[in-house]
Amino acid sequence: MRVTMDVRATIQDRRHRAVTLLEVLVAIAAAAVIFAIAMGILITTNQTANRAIAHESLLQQAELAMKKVQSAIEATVWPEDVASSPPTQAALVFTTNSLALLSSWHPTRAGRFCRYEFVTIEKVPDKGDVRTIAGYLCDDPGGGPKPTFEKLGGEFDSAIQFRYATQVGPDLQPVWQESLPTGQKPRLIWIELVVRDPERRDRRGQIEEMRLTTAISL
Amino acid sequence: MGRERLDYRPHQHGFSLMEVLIALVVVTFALYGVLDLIASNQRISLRTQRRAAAIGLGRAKMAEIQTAGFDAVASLLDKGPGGPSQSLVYPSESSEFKAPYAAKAFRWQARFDRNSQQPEVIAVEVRVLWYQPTTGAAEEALSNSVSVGGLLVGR
Repeated sequence: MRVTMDVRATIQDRRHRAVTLLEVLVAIAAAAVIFAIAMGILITTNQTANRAIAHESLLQQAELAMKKVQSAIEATVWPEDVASSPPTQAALVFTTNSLALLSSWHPTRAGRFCRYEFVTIEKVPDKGDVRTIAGYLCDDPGGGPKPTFEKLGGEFDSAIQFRYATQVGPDLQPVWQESLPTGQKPRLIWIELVVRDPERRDRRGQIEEMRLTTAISL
Repeated sequence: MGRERLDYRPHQHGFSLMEVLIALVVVTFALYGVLDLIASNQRISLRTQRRAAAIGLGRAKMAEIQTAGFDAVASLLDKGPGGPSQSLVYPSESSEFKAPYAAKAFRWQARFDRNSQQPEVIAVEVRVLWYQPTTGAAEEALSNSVSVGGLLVGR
Protein backbone atom coordinates (compact mmCIF):
# COMPACT_ATOMS: atom_id res chain seq x y z
CA MET A 1 0.00 0.00 0.00
CA ARG A 2 2.85 2.34 0.82
CA VAL A 3 4.54 1.71 -2.53
CA THR A 4 1.30 2.48 -4.40
CA MET A 5 0.89 5.75 -2.58
CA ASP A 6 4.48 6.78 -3.39
CA VAL A 7 4.04 6.10 -7.09
CA ARG A 8 0.78 8.02 -7.25
CA ALA A 9 2.41 10.93 -5.45
CA THR A 10 5.30 10.94 -7.94
CA ILE A 11 2.94 10.98 -10.93
CA GLN A 12 0.99 13.77 -9.30
CA ASP A 13 4.23 15.71 -8.80
CA ARG A 14 5.26 15.29 -12.42
CA ARG A 15 1.89 16.58 -13.59
CA HIS A 16 2.03 19.75 -11.58
CA ARG A 17 5.69 20.62 -11.61
CA ALA A 18 6.94 23.63 -13.63
CA VAL A 19 8.50 23.00 -17.03
CA THR A 20 12.26 23.10 -17.24
CA LEU A 21 14.21 25.55 -19.39
CA LEU A 22 15.32 22.68 -21.62
CA GLU A 23 11.71 21.68 -22.27
CA VAL A 24 10.83 25.26 -23.17
CA LEU A 25 13.80 25.48 -25.53
CA VAL A 26 12.91 22.17 -27.17
CA ALA A 27 9.30 23.29 -27.59
CA ILE A 28 10.43 26.62 -29.12
CA ALA A 29 12.84 24.81 -31.45
CA ALA A 30 10.12 22.36 -32.54
CA ALA A 31 7.68 25.21 -33.15
CA ALA A 32 10.36 27.12 -35.11
CA VAL A 33 11.07 24.08 -37.29
CA ILE A 34 7.37 23.52 -38.02
CA PHE A 35 6.89 27.25 -38.73
CA ALA A 36 9.94 27.27 -41.03
CA ILE A 37 8.65 24.27 -42.98
CA ALA A 38 5.19 25.84 -43.32
CA MET A 39 6.68 29.16 -44.42
CA GLY A 40 9.02 27.40 -46.83
CA ILE A 41 6.08 25.63 -48.46
CA LEU A 42 4.10 28.86 -48.57
CA ILE A 43 6.97 30.85 -50.09
CA THR A 44 7.78 28.15 -52.65
CA THR A 45 4.12 27.88 -53.66
CA ASN A 46 3.90 31.63 -53.96
CA GLN A 47 7.10 31.83 -56.03
CA THR A 48 5.89 29.06 -58.31
CA ALA A 49 2.55 30.78 -58.80
CA ASN A 50 4.30 34.10 -59.49
CA ARG A 51 6.63 32.45 -61.99
CA ALA A 52 3.69 30.79 -63.76
CA ILE A 53 1.83 34.11 -63.95
CA ALA A 54 4.97 35.89 -65.23
CA HIS A 55 5.46 33.16 -67.86
CA GLU A 56 1.84 33.44 -68.93
CA SER A 57 2.15 37.20 -69.15
CA LEU A 58 5.28 36.93 -71.32
CA LEU A 59 3.63 34.29 -73.49
CA GLN A 60 0.52 36.37 -74.06
CA GLN A 61 2.60 39.44 -74.92
CA ALA A 62 4.75 37.41 -77.33
CA GLU A 63 1.68 35.87 -79.01
CA LEU A 64 -0.01 39.24 -79.31
CA ALA A 65 3.12 40.78 -80.82
CA MET A 66 3.55 37.86 -83.23
CA LYS A 67 -0.07 38.22 -84.37
CA LYS A 68 0.52 41.90 -85.16
CA VAL A 69 3.60 41.06 -87.21
CA GLN A 70 1.81 38.20 -88.97
CA SER A 71 -1.22 40.35 -89.78
CA ALA A 72 0.97 42.99 -91.40
CA ILE A 73 3.10 40.52 -93.37
CA GLU A 74 0.20 38.35 -94.54
CA ALA A 75 -1.46 41.45 -96.04
CA THR A 76 1.66 42.38 -98.02
CA VAL A 77 1.11 44.18 -101.30
CA TRP A 78 3.88 45.00 -103.75
CA PRO A 79 4.38 48.68 -104.57
CA GLU A 80 4.14 48.11 -108.34
CA ASP A 81 0.68 46.63 -107.83
CA VAL A 82 -0.51 49.75 -106.05
CA ALA A 83 -0.99 52.59 -108.51
CA SER A 84 -1.52 55.26 -105.84
CA SER A 85 1.57 54.40 -103.81
CA PRO A 86 4.71 56.47 -104.54
CA PRO A 87 7.55 53.91 -104.97
CA THR A 88 10.12 56.08 -103.18
CA GLN A 89 8.08 56.05 -99.99
CA ALA A 90 7.39 52.36 -100.27
CA ALA A 91 11.02 51.21 -100.38
CA LEU A 92 11.24 47.61 -99.25
CA VAL A 93 13.92 46.36 -96.87
CA PHE A 94 14.67 42.68 -96.26
CA THR A 95 17.52 42.27 -93.80
CA THR A 96 18.08 40.27 -90.63
CA ASN A 97 17.31 43.11 -88.25
CA SER A 98 14.92 45.13 -90.33
CA LEU A 99 11.91 44.41 -92.48
CA ALA A 100 10.03 47.10 -94.37
CA LEU A 101 7.09 46.29 -96.57
CA LEU A 102 3.82 47.71 -97.78
CA SER A 103 0.73 46.18 -96.24
CA SER A 104 -2.98 46.57 -96.66
CA TRP A 105 -3.44 45.87 -92.96
CA HIS A 106 -3.78 49.18 -91.16
CA PRO A 107 -4.23 49.16 -87.40
CA THR A 108 -6.42 52.25 -87.20
CA ARG A 109 -7.50 53.21 -90.69
CA ALA A 110 -8.97 50.32 -92.61
CA GLY A 111 -8.72 50.61 -96.35
CA ARG A 112 -5.41 52.52 -96.21
CA PHE A 113 -1.99 51.10 -96.99
CA CYS A 114 0.76 51.20 -94.44
CA ARG A 115 4.50 50.90 -94.91
CA TYR A 116 5.60 48.81 -91.97
CA GLU A 117 9.15 48.96 -90.76
CA PHE A 118 9.95 46.36 -88.13
CA VAL A 119 13.21 46.95 -86.29
CA THR A 120 14.98 46.21 -83.03
CA ILE A 121 16.55 49.18 -81.32
CA GLU A 122 19.02 49.14 -78.45
CA LYS A 123 18.22 50.94 -75.25
CA VAL A 124 20.94 52.92 -73.48
CA PRO A 125 22.62 50.30 -71.33
CA ASP A 126 22.05 50.71 -67.64
CA LYS A 127 23.86 48.58 -65.07
CA GLY A 128 25.85 46.97 -67.86
CA ASP A 129 22.92 45.11 -69.47
CA VAL A 130 22.20 45.82 -73.13
CA ARG A 131 18.44 46.02 -73.49
CA THR A 132 16.55 45.89 -76.76
CA ILE A 133 13.10 46.91 -77.92
CA ALA A 134 11.45 45.50 -81.01
CA GLY A 135 8.76 47.56 -82.62
CA TYR A 136 7.41 49.01 -85.80
CA LEU A 137 6.63 52.25 -87.56
CA CYS A 138 3.47 52.43 -89.61
CA ASP A 139 4.00 55.06 -92.26
CA ASP A 140 1.04 55.93 -94.46
CA PRO A 141 2.48 56.44 -97.97
CA GLY A 142 -0.44 58.67 -98.85
CA GLY A 143 0.37 61.16 -96.10
CA GLY A 144 -1.14 61.29 -92.64
CA PRO A 145 0.44 61.90 -89.24
CA LYS A 146 4.09 61.21 -88.55
CA PRO A 147 4.42 57.59 -87.45
CA THR A 148 5.26 56.79 -83.88
CA PHE A 149 7.33 53.83 -82.79
CA GLU A 150 5.04 51.09 -81.49
CA LYS A 151 6.63 48.61 -79.11
CA LEU A 152 5.89 44.95 -79.78
CA GLY A 153 6.81 43.72 -76.31
CA GLY A 154 4.76 46.21 -74.30
CA GLU A 155 6.59 46.95 -71.07
CA PHE A 156 8.97 44.03 -71.64
CA ASP A 157 12.24 44.00 -73.56
CA SER A 158 12.00 42.38 -76.97
CA ALA A 159 13.92 41.56 -80.12
CA ILE A 160 12.87 40.50 -83.61
CA GLN A 161 14.84 38.84 -86.41
CA PHE A 162 14.00 37.84 -89.94
CA ARG A 163 15.24 35.43 -92.59
CA TYR A 164 14.03 35.14 -96.15
CA ALA A 165 13.65 32.37 -98.70
CA THR A 166 12.94 32.75 -102.37
CA GLN A 167 12.79 29.01 -103.03
CA VAL A 168 12.13 25.72 -101.25
CA GLY A 169 14.13 22.62 -102.12
CA PRO A 170 12.60 19.29 -103.21
CA ASP A 171 13.12 18.03 -99.65
CA LEU A 172 10.74 20.81 -98.52
CA GLN A 173 13.63 22.68 -96.85
CA PRO A 174 13.76 26.41 -97.70
CA VAL A 175 17.03 28.05 -98.64
CA TRP A 176 17.22 30.80 -96.05
CA GLN A 177 19.03 34.07 -96.63
CA GLU A 178 19.88 36.81 -94.16
CA SER A 179 19.03 39.58 -96.60
CA LEU A 180 17.74 40.01 -100.10
CA PRO A 181 19.18 42.30 -102.79
CA THR A 182 17.08 45.24 -103.91
CA GLY A 183 14.27 44.20 -106.18
CA GLN A 184 14.13 40.58 -105.04
CA LYS A 185 10.96 39.46 -103.30
CA PRO A 186 10.81 36.75 -100.65
CA ARG A 187 8.38 33.87 -100.92
CA LEU A 188 8.83 32.97 -97.29
CA ILE A 189 9.62 35.15 -94.30
CA TRP A 190 10.95 33.54 -91.12
CA ILE A 191 10.34 35.47 -87.91
CA GLU A 192 11.83 35.02 -84.49
CA LEU A 193 10.39 37.14 -81.70
CA VAL A 194 11.86 37.17 -78.21
CA VAL A 195 10.15 38.87 -75.29
CA ARG A 196 12.17 39.24 -72.08
CA ASP A 197 11.36 40.32 -68.57
CA PRO A 198 14.65 41.78 -67.26
CA GLU A 199 13.26 42.02 -63.75
CA ARG A 200 12.78 38.30 -63.43
CA ARG A 201 15.41 35.58 -63.44
CA ASP A 202 14.89 31.87 -63.76
CA ARG A 203 16.40 29.28 -61.46
CA ARG A 204 19.63 29.32 -63.46
CA GLY A 205 19.91 33.06 -62.98
CA GLN A 206 19.08 33.87 -66.59
CA ILE A 207 16.56 36.50 -67.63
CA GLU A 208 13.08 35.06 -68.18
CA GLU A 209 12.26 35.07 -71.87
CA MET A 210 9.71 33.76 -74.33
CA ARG A 211 10.91 32.86 -77.81
CA LEU A 212 8.39 32.33 -80.61
CA THR A 213 9.32 31.36 -84.13
CA THR A 214 7.22 31.08 -87.24
CA ALA A 215 7.34 31.50 -91.01
CA ILE A 216 4.86 33.15 -93.34
CA SER A 217 4.30 32.29 -96.96
CA LEU A 218 3.73 35.25 -99.26
CA MET B 1 -3.02 -8.21 2.02
CA GLY B 2 -2.01 -9.40 -1.42
CA ARG B 3 0.63 -7.80 -3.65
CA GLU B 4 -0.90 -4.94 -5.66
CA ARG B 5 -0.06 -4.61 -9.31
CA LEU B 6 1.59 -1.34 -10.22
CA ASP B 7 0.46 -0.33 -13.69
CA TYR B 8 0.96 3.33 -14.45
CA ARG B 9 1.50 3.10 -18.21
CA PRO B 10 -1.73 4.93 -19.10
CA HIS B 11 -0.44 7.94 -17.20
CA GLN B 12 2.92 8.07 -19.05
CA HIS B 13 3.81 11.32 -20.77
CA GLY B 14 5.25 11.56 -24.33
CA PHE B 15 4.68 9.54 -27.49
CA SER B 16 5.46 5.97 -28.28
CA LEU B 17 7.81 5.13 -31.16
CA MET B 18 4.84 3.85 -33.19
CA GLU B 19 2.96 7.12 -32.73
CA VAL B 20 5.99 9.13 -33.84
CA LEU B 21 6.48 6.92 -36.90
CA ILE B 22 2.82 7.20 -37.92
CA ALA B 23 3.00 11.00 -37.49
CA LEU B 24 6.15 11.10 -39.64
CA VAL B 25 4.49 9.06 -42.38
CA VAL B 26 1.44 11.36 -42.36
CA VAL B 27 3.64 14.49 -42.49
CA THR B 28 5.76 12.98 -45.28
CA PHE B 29 2.68 12.23 -47.38
CA ALA B 30 1.35 15.74 -46.79
CA LEU B 31 4.72 17.28 -47.79
CA TYR B 32 4.93 15.04 -50.84
CA GLY B 33 1.44 16.18 -51.85
CA VAL B 34 2.39 19.85 -51.55
CA LEU B 35 5.70 19.39 -53.42
CA ASP B 36 3.92 17.41 -56.13
CA LEU B 37 1.43 20.25 -56.46
CA ILE B 38 4.29 22.73 -56.96
CA ALA B 39 6.02 20.48 -59.49
CA SER B 40 2.73 19.96 -61.31
CA ASN B 41 2.24 23.73 -61.53
CA GLN B 42 5.70 24.09 -63.09
CA ARG B 43 5.04 21.27 -65.56
CA ILE B 44 1.79 22.87 -66.71
CA SER B 45 3.48 26.25 -67.15
CA LEU B 46 6.30 24.69 -69.18
CA ARG B 47 3.85 22.64 -71.25
CA THR B 48 1.89 25.79 -72.13
CA GLN B 49 5.09 27.47 -73.31
CA ARG B 50 6.12 24.46 -75.36
CA ARG B 51 2.69 24.17 -76.91
CA ALA B 52 2.71 27.84 -77.97
CA ALA B 53 6.18 27.40 -79.48
CA ALA B 54 5.11 24.17 -81.21
CA ILE B 55 2.06 25.84 -82.79
CA GLY B 56 4.32 28.57 -84.22
CA LEU B 57 6.72 25.96 -85.58
CA GLY B 58 3.85 23.92 -87.06
CA ARG B 59 2.51 26.98 -88.86
CA ALA B 60 6.03 27.75 -90.07
CA LYS B 61 6.46 24.26 -91.52
CA MET B 62 3.02 24.47 -93.12
CA ALA B 63 4.01 27.80 -94.70
CA GLU B 64 7.20 26.17 -96.03
CA ILE B 65 5.21 23.30 -97.55
CA GLN B 66 2.71 25.71 -99.09
CA THR B 67 5.60 27.68 -100.57
CA ALA B 68 7.09 24.48 -101.97
CA GLY B 69 3.72 24.04 -103.64
CA PHE B 70 1.41 21.32 -104.88
CA ASP B 71 3.82 20.00 -107.51
CA ALA B 72 6.66 19.41 -105.04
CA VAL B 73 4.39 17.45 -102.70
CA ALA B 74 2.75 15.55 -105.58
CA SER B 75 6.24 14.59 -106.73
CA LEU B 76 7.03 13.20 -103.26
CA LEU B 77 3.79 11.18 -103.36
CA ASP B 78 4.67 9.82 -106.81
CA LYS B 79 8.21 8.89 -105.74
CA GLY B 80 7.11 7.25 -102.47
CA PRO B 81 9.11 4.27 -101.16
CA GLY B 82 6.54 1.80 -102.53
CA GLY B 83 5.88 3.69 -105.75
CA PRO B 84 3.13 6.24 -106.32
CA SER B 85 0.74 6.39 -103.42
CA GLN B 86 -2.26 8.29 -102.20
CA SER B 87 -0.76 8.92 -98.83
CA LEU B 88 2.72 9.55 -97.45
CA VAL B 89 4.32 10.31 -94.10
CA TYR B 90 7.30 12.55 -94.74
CA PRO B 91 9.99 12.27 -93.56
CA SER B 92 9.60 8.65 -92.47
CA GLU B 93 11.34 9.48 -89.16
CA SER B 94 10.44 12.77 -87.50
CA SER B 95 13.01 15.41 -88.41
CA GLU B 96 14.57 18.21 -86.40
CA PHE B 97 14.09 21.85 -87.29
CA LYS B 98 17.21 23.00 -89.09
CA ALA B 99 18.81 26.46 -88.81
CA PRO B 100 17.75 29.22 -88.48
CA TYR B 101 15.28 27.55 -86.14
CA ALA B 102 16.67 27.27 -82.62
CA ALA B 103 14.27 24.54 -81.59
CA LYS B 104 16.30 21.51 -80.58
CA ALA B 105 13.54 20.13 -78.37
CA PHE B 106 11.11 19.93 -81.29
CA ARG B 107 10.75 17.60 -84.26
CA TRP B 108 8.33 17.57 -87.14
CA GLN B 109 6.66 15.14 -89.51
CA ALA B 110 4.10 15.75 -92.24
CA ARG B 111 1.38 13.53 -93.63
CA PHE B 112 0.14 14.05 -97.18
CA ASP B 113 -3.15 12.56 -98.37
CA ARG B 114 -4.25 12.87 -101.97
CA ASN B 115 -7.98 12.87 -102.45
CA SER B 116 -8.78 10.00 -104.82
CA GLN B 117 -11.87 11.78 -106.12
CA GLN B 118 -10.13 15.14 -106.36
CA PRO B 119 -6.50 14.42 -107.30
CA GLU B 120 -5.76 18.13 -107.54
CA VAL B 121 -6.22 18.46 -103.77
CA ILE B 122 -3.68 17.24 -101.23
CA ALA B 123 -4.46 17.40 -97.54
CA VAL B 124 -1.45 18.23 -95.38
CA GLU B 125 -1.07 17.62 -91.69
CA VAL B 126 2.09 18.85 -89.99
CA ARG B 127 2.74 17.30 -86.61
CA VAL B 128 5.21 18.92 -84.24
CA LEU B 129 6.48 16.68 -81.46
CA TRP B 130 8.53 17.64 -78.49
CA TYR B 131 10.37 16.02 -75.67
CA GLN B 132 9.23 16.38 -72.13
CA PRO B 133 12.00 18.58 -70.71
CA THR B 134 11.88 16.99 -67.28
CA THR B 135 12.54 13.45 -68.48
CA GLY B 136 13.90 13.76 -72.01
CA ALA B 137 12.38 10.37 -72.73
CA ALA B 138 11.52 9.68 -76.35
CA GLU B 139 8.30 7.92 -75.37
CA GLU B 140 7.07 11.15 -73.84
CA ALA B 141 7.44 12.93 -77.17
CA LEU B 142 4.52 11.09 -78.68
CA SER B 143 2.21 12.38 -76.00
CA ASN B 144 3.40 15.94 -76.58
CA SER B 145 2.41 17.02 -80.03
CA VAL B 146 0.32 19.51 -81.93
CA SER B 147 -0.99 19.23 -85.46
CA VAL B 148 -1.52 21.96 -88.01
CA GLY B 149 -3.62 21.18 -91.05
CA GLY B 150 -3.91 22.67 -94.52
CA LEU B 151 -4.69 21.98 -98.16
CA LEU B 152 -2.61 22.19 -101.32
CA VAL B 153 -4.52 22.73 -104.51
CA GLY B 154 -3.02 22.02 -107.93
CA ARG B 155 -3.75 24.13 -110.95
